[in-house]
Amino acid sequence: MVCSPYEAGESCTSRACGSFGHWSIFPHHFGARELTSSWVGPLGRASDSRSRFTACTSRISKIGINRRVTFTDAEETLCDFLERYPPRPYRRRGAADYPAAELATVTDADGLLYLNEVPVQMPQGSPRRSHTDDGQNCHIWVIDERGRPCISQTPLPRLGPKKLHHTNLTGGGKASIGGEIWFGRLPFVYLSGSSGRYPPTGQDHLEGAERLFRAVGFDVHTLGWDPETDKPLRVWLER
Amino acid sequence: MNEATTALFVRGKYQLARYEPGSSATGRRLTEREVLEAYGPQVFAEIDDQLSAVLLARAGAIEHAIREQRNALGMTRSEFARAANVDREIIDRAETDAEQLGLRELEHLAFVLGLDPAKLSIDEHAGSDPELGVRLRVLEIERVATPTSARLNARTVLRFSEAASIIRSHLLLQRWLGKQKEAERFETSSNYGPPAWRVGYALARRAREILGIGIEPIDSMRELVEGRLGIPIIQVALQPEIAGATVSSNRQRGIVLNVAGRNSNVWIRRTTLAHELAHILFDPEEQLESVRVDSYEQIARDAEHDSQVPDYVEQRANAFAVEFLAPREAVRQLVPSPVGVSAASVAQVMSAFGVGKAAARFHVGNAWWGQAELPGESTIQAFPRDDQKAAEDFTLDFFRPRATPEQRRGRFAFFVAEAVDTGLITPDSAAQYLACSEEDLRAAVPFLLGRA
Repeated sequence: MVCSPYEAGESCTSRACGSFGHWSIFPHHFGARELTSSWVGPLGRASDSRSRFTACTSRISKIGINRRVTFTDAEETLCDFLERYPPRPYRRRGAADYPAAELATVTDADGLLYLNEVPVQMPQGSPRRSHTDDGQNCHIWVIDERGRPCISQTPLPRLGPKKLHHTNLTGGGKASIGGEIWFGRLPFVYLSGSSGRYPPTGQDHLEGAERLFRAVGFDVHTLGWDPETDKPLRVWLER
Repeated sequence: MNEATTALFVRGKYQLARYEPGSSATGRRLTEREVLEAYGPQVFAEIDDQLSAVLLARAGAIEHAIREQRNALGMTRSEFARAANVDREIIDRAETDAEQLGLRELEHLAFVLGLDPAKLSIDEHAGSDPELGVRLRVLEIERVATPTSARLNARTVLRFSEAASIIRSHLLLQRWLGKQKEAERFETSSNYGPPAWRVGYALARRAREILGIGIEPIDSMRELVEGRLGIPIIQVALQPEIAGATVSSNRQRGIVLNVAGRNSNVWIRRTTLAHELAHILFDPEEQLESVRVDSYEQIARDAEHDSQVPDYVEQRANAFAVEFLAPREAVRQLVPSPVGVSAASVAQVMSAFGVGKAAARFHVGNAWWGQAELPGESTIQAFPRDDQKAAEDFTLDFFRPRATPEQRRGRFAFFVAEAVDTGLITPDSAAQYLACSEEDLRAAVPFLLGRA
């Protein structure tokens, strides 16, 4: 259980809850430097991790010793989520591991952003509608063991020409789930659970992640679950 | 069946993913070979990277493909529903909101329409052959073959379009199973004479030479056409005046035989098969016209002395058929004189070479350059022997799975069983091919493979 150390009264040194509650985003057509300057105001930064720590401690206190309580719905939802769907190592493609570049950690210095709240402004995107189309302004997200959910899918200069992978968000570490996100007119977002490395374990897992985004304030329009493949749907169906 | 030991995939209406044991996925399970054939190798990387591969060409692609093909075949939704034996509501949904239907229902509709079920959604035409649709619509509007015959009804049109799907699947499995296909040794010929009958005779001699069968009787036309030449034969009950047809879809050719009407006589059926064989082996694509329907009346005409307005394509095929079954050289050995040919002699030709009465009578006359004194047709009495019936009969009776419609029985069903037994296709796919439940399929495979 992710939060169990707190029940024992230990200090939170585990990565499991370290930066919980921070949501990050990196619009793919922005350079990292531009993005940092553009978004540092409304969004939390990677180093600003205490709010999550407080939230988790508060929650455990509520359960146990009844200490001070300053947690939010989003934090509560996230803690429940991580208890139910604990972070796991990434899924490998076969026996071989991924290339080092796909496991290199993206940091806030690269433009990693955390979504503590709905951003004031984001470049609008549209989701994938066919097998020849990836939509516009697609970003990838994870809920990792530090609770970092989002980042751009496009290559970062220091990672070379290959596209960004979910394992870049975790540095090859654990995560509960990953997926894709496209921003509409905020707080409207399209969300998918498409990640080959941190796939949802089932429909409930993806729906739990969608609730996290809603708890932050996003108006989530999910691409949904495909019962025929028992996998997240990767294409937006006109309805 | 090796399903448990091989990597499986599962296909939904809009995407393809790996199938994980214990998964609740309801889509079509496929082998890696099936995936590779239908979608190419690039989908594997996409699945590994993104968990699934998107198979959607555009929103509404499924609805568009089904609607377009039904219209191409000249059927209303109601006619399609009746002919396909499904509720009209299913057709409405398939054409307007396919998301409400499962993949399997849509695949069934696609298959009977002559579409490629694997291409549903990823190709907005679902692999349709526009020429097939146009030809069937023209046949539906015009009268078939002769002015006296009836129009093609919606059911017959749908049987032909389904035949195109069966032929495509049959040839795919045949290729995967490494079965021989000597039809590839033949070249089409655009020589229709005149006279067309002379070309037909020459082509028959050439065919016998290629196949190395001299002037001997052909024991089983079915085995020769399907087993040696690798040409699919689909047997189905059609309108009573239709003897058979050749179907060519996306340049894949097969024969449709009417099991109703005069083809119930095995000699007539052999003649029909030989006639369609001429079209398949020698007609260039532009003459084959995707679907060429032949009436019994057409096939029964004198190959050389047709009093009707000559259709050189049919005349050549008629001459080929009778000469292929009963080479004139061999006929002259059985009927050594043109003078006073007896009914017994003609009956002997029928029995020896397995040809129908009218064809045998005409052919004896033509073997003697039109100089023979022929007996009246009504005086000739001969009936197929049991061994001839056995050699040509299809496995229609006592067939398993019982739910499999007659047009999907025969060699196609045996290929399906062999393919599933060797792990080329999943039992799920096999059940779709044979239009039965997976449970029935599993029970039937030993029967189909001769192990039961």
